[in-house]
Amino acid sequence: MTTQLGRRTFLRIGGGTVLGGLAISAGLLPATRAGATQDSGVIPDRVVPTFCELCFWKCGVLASVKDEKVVKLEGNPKHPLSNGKLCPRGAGGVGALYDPDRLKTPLIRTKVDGKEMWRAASWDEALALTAKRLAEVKQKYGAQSLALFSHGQGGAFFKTLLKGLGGTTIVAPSNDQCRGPRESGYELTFGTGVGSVETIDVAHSKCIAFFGSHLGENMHNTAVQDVSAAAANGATFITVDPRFSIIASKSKYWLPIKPGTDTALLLAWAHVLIEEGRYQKAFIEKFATGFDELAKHVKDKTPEWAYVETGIAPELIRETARELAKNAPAALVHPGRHVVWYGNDTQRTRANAIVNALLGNWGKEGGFYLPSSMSVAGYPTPPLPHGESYVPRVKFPLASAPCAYDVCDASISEKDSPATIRAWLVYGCNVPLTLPNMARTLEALKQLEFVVAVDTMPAEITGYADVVLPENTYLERYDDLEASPFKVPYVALRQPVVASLYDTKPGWWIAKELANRLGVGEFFPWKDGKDFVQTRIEKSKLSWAALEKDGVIVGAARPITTDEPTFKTKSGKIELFSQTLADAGLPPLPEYEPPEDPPAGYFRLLFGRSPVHTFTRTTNNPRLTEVVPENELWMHVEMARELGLSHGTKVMLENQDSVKTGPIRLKVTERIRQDCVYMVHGFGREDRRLSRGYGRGASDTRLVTRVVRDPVMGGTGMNVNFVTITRWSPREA
Amino acid sequence: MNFLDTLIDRAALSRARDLFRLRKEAPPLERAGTHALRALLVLALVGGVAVLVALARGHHVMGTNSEMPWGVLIATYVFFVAMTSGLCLVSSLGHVFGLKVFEPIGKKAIFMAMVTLVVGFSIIGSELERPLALLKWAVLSPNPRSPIWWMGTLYGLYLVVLVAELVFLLRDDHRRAKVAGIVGVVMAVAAHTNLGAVFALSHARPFWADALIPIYFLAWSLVMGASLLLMLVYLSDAFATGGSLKPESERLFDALRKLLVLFLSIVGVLTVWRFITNLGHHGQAFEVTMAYLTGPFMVSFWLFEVFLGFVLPLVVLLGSKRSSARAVTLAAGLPVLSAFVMRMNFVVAGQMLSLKPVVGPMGETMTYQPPFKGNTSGFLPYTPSIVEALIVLGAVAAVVLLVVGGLKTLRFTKEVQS
Amino acid sequence: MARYGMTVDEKLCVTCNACVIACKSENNVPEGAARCWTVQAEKGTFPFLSVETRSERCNHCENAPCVSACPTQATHVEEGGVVVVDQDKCVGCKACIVACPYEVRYLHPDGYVDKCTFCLHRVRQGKDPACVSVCPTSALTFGDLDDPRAKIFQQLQQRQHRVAKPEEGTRPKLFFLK
Ligand SMILES: Nc1nc2c(c(=O)[nH]1)N[C@H]1C(S)=C(S)[C@@H](COP(=O)(O)OP(=O)(O)OC[C@H]3O[C@@H](n4cnc5c(=O)[nH]c(N)nc54)[C@H](O)[C@@H]3O)O[C@H]1N2
Ligand SMILES: Nc1nc2c(c(=O)[nH]1)N[C@H]1C(S)=C(S)[C@@H](COP(=O)(O)OP(=O)(O)OC[C@H]3O[C@@H](n4cnc5c(=O)[nH]c(N)nc54)[C@H](O)[C@@H]3O)O[C@H]1N2
Ligand code: SF4
Ligand code: SF4
Ligand code: SF4
Ligand code: SF4
Ligand code: SF4
Ligand SMILES: [Mo]
Repeated sequence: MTTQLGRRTFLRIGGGTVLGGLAISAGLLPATRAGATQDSGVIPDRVVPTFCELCFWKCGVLASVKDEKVVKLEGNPKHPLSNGKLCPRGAGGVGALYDPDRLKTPLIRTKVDGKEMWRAASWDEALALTAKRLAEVKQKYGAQSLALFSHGQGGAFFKTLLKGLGGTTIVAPSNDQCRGPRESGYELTFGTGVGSVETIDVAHSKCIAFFGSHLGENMHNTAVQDVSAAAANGATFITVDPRFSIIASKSKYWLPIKPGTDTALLLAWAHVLIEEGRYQKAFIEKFATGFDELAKHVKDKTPEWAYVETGIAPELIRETARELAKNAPAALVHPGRHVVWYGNDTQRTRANAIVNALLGNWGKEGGFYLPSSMSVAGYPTPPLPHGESYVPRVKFPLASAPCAYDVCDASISEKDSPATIRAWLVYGCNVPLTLPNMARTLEALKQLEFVVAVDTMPAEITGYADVVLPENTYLERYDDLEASPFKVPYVALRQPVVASLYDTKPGWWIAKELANRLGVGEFFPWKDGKDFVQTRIEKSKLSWAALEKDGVIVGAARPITTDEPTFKTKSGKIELFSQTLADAGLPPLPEYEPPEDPPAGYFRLLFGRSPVHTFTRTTNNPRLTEVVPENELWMHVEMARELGLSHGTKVMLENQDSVKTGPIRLKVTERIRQDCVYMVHGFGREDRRLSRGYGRGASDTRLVTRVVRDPVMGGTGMNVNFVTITRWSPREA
Repeated sequence: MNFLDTLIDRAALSRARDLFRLRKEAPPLERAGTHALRALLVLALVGGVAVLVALARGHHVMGTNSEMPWGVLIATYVFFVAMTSGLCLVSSLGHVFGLKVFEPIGKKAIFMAMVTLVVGFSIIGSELERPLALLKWAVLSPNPRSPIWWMGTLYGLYLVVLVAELVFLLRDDHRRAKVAGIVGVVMAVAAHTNLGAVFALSHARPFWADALIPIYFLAWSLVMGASLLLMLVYLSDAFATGGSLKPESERLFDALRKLLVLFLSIVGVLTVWRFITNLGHHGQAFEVTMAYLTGPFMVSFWLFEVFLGFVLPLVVLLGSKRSSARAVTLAAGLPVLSAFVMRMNFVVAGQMLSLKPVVGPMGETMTYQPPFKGNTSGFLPYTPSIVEALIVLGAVAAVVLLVVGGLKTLRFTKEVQS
Repeated sequence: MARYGMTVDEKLCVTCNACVIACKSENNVPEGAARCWTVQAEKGTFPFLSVETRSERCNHCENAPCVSACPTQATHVEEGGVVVVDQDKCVGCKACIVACPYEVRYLHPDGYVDKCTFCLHRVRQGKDPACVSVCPTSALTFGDLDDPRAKIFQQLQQRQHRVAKPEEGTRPKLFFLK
């Protein structure tokens, strides 16, 4: 796979000194024979509480240190998100720290007689250059021309930096590539989003329907713990998925739905609940508006109608709807998380929200709970300026946040419409492999005047940056406090477990240094990362000592259920019928739009998670790649037979825009519909410096050249790409 | 004359290096022999180095792994110690059971038995990760339930007995020699059948877990004993006479031929029944047997184990009224080759079916994480590493050299003594 | 005298491999080896499917062929009937690997055979084994099979369960709950 690039050619990063690498990788080698004759495990010198950054759930971990080496990570029993347990990625976090391929020093892109290459630089030089270039861009095009991609805890400091500079264009792939549509759908219906951690009481639910939501592969720790608790309590699971996922295998009902037709099923469920009078009448009467319009809307959305669209037998549709109704209000249609599937995703989550409303589960045990969060004082800083935000080319009436995808778009000059974004700060976001339509991302990266990437690994994004600033891993730094809304209020601390292994720095330091050099240091008045968090904890009348010792402070539990819920919608009620959407000229009630079918010989490309990996951030992690070294392409037995392909064969994928990628090994299985294929996202790494990830498996992103935008909030529906599959031959590059 | 001199001919010993000196005027057969010996010497030395490497690096330089833990070295070890027992047993017919015909070869046979056992030990030594630790812990922390422990113990004692027996024989101390001989016979049977039990007791490996195995091993060792002695008789004559059998050897030669026929037939019958019973079984034993009959082992089984190792030799040996002594000797050599192949196949076949199958007992598709080597296909692969291969070759060379050397320098016959 | 055992709840296990990874750190298991692993067993044809999900490890057999196979008693039975390998006494003959019907043992790069110890070092400190304590679905339960108050005891009383290859007569102490 070659990447065509103009000015900014793709640079592979020489990751620091080889010796360093060896020394560290030696850290992963087993203890020598001269130990206890009987395996006595490792007795740590100290145990440091902190929280995980292998994904964005942020569970509390206890890190055991022996001879200044982190030997193991365990779940923090006191942390409400871990309850002493970790998911496989969290348990393998040591691999992120001791990955020999890590970024080890700042890097500056330089031209040596026409050839672009990297030069290891001092922090002083790298920061000075970054500040100079950002200042230039700001001076030339204004603060609105600066954009920040931010995903991860340390992003907070760079948000302050960008806002300090007068910028407002702050985007995250967790919006328009992830759960943005769900948040809109729920805000439009209930007045509040579901958030992360999702505010659903799965553990006590008696019946849960999962649309996709492949928990068990999707390994958000607490979410999986809750699903497991529900299973242990004998809850009934209904899984709607074209693939027989792990959660499907735990479900009483598996509905192998035709991809993209979920709205039809949801509307049919609403139909059954209403027609059979099985919805929570009192609740609806008291708390909802627009019921009559809804009833009218779904009158003709019969299971028989839905059957034609979804391929799910009418009886099964009725039976599952009744199952949900029977257990209401302790019944739940899981709102999903990664919902950017087909573009009509806000409307689909609206339908999802409406069914939940009919189940009357808002504020109920086993339904949606009322979260609370620990109030933590801010650090006294001058008020941040608010520049007017940038104007995207494509506008979305109800977008609550700018879309990462549009920032890409705004960074490309087209004739009679010059780029409005000229420089990127990228924090913890592997943009090329994260945003759909890679060619476009690369075009933007090519045209941008300046790109600085703050990362821990030689991830693809760093290959396109002008300056690479290596951050400490989460086990080597202080970070912003973590106090997400949850069943119980809590605040968690991230603190260094060991000293930096290399010439890398924590995000707070990098941001503060840049701020000073850019003359906005007043927004970073604190001495250091520790002062930043300690002062706030003390101002909040919380015990710093306790936080340092336990890694978390859990506040007094508040009631999470209520019989008198209030809603932050315009009407103050649950809006089954959405005037807001109507006013914006959008369907006030979810309309079903049939998905475009794959052309003959093509499969729909679906993707998801491996329990052991997080996107691209772990696909070079020594501990995790050992267990799952590459992704596979799921294909139904029949289709494989037709194509004369067998289990384990290496195949190439080519999509409707003749983008080719692979090779990837085939998993021939009964566990998927015949009209689609499936793979795990995050593999097919393209930077040679990633010794374990490079070229392992295939990249779904490469094939997502087409997106359908969500008309409500701009989400990028990505399940709309079709692929053909051919046997790979070693001759192919 | 002192003790050692009653055993070793110092003069001959000092002339030992002449073995490798090429005499222009020597007859072609001898010159060929010299060339061969030189080659063998090189092989043996290389093998020696390989052993050192193996001792130093252990399984890191072996073709084996946690799913195929035993390889060619185990097979070769079994191969050599089978010779030991066989030589001991066949020759005992003479100096223990008093069958006059066999007496002349008694001493040489026992000597060869000793050589093969010592070489066998050095092979198992290089196969173990820590051979010395075994010596230590087998004594300090013995496990009488372990066939491997018995193997070490029995063969250890056996070596002592053999040495004693040889000494008595060389000194013509017939009374003691006979006692040692009787003990030797018992040890030979005990040690080798126990070795069979090392496999027969592996319930987890159905192809091995077969009560016939100890007897099967014993029968095979008799075949090898007879063939080796037959070859010895012919070759030692041939080198002296320049190619033909001495008249006085003819009766012995013929007796060995008859014995070989008998033993081969026994092995044949046992093999047939082992396979038939296996085919009667379900699961692994059946699958592996099919691998012999029609699968990956097909060629080496039908060609080496059956045709070359059994059919052809029998034809020649039985029809040997007409066939020359040389032909008979060649025919007798074949089963030895076959015996090696048989053991190689046997050791690998017992482990070739992964205990983590890709298809489950109920026909499920099994997926394991982290991935195991064996999960890709039904049969686990095994190819010996270079080190393993060199050790085997070196061992064979060493045996031949030591035997030849011994024959030249030990006082096997009165003539030398006087 | 306790009799330690473990249950794997196939209803709850999602084959996430957290146990595998936690075990490797806890016990410093070398790259390429694992003391426990996960299994998915797929049955049926679309859409009538089932997948068994479990995590497997040494069964700490009450009648352990590996123990009888070991010439030096390196493989021996420790407190609570836990089968462990004494690295010092292990000579690397691999007889135990050959003898084990479950292929749970591996040759450690340092030249001895290694396997699951039921985390005896943790159990002695009153902790659960590493795999048990990390498991996000609480699919694993460790305890004394003879103690009526132990959760594992009740599980085995109340729930259908099976062991691996009962026909081997090894009397495993790792139970799979249906
Ligand atoms: N181990 C691990 N866990 C993770 C992550 C990770 O990287 N690794 N990432 C976390 C993040 S940020 C997110 S957003 C979540 C994402 O995890 P989810 O929210 O569960 O993402 P989905 O896209 O819903 O899940 C993919 C499933 O949807 C199915 N699917 C595909 N198309 C359709 C369709 O048209 N209809 C239906 N009904 N199903 C369909 C696929 O077959 C697959 O089983 O996971 C989180 N958890
Ligand atoms: N094709 C496709 N695209 C997708 C998805 C998909 O399933 N398929 N999923 C979408 C979803 S749901 C989401 S949430 C997004 C996630 O998108 P991203 O947040 O971009 O996820 P990652 O690929 O993990 O990229 C994380 C980057 O942060 C770096 N990093 C890791 N730890 C640290 C740290 O401590 N500090 C710093 N500075 N950097 C760090 C990693 O090296 C990596 O380069 O992707 C979206 N994009
Ligand atoms: S879910 Fe897993 S990876 Fe994400 S924070 Fe928790 S432990 Fe870490
Ligand atoms: S950690 Fe628990 S759920 Fe995950 S594989 Fe192991 S036993 Fe199964
Ligand atoms: S499972 Fe294997 S290793 Fe574990 S006790 Fe049983 S036989 Fe021994
Ligand atoms: S390899 Fe070690 S533990 Fe296994 S049987 Fe041999 S000595 Fe015992
Ligand atoms: S009990 Fe301990 S050693 Fe055994 S698998 Fe679990 S963690 Fe590994
Ligand atoms: Mo996400």
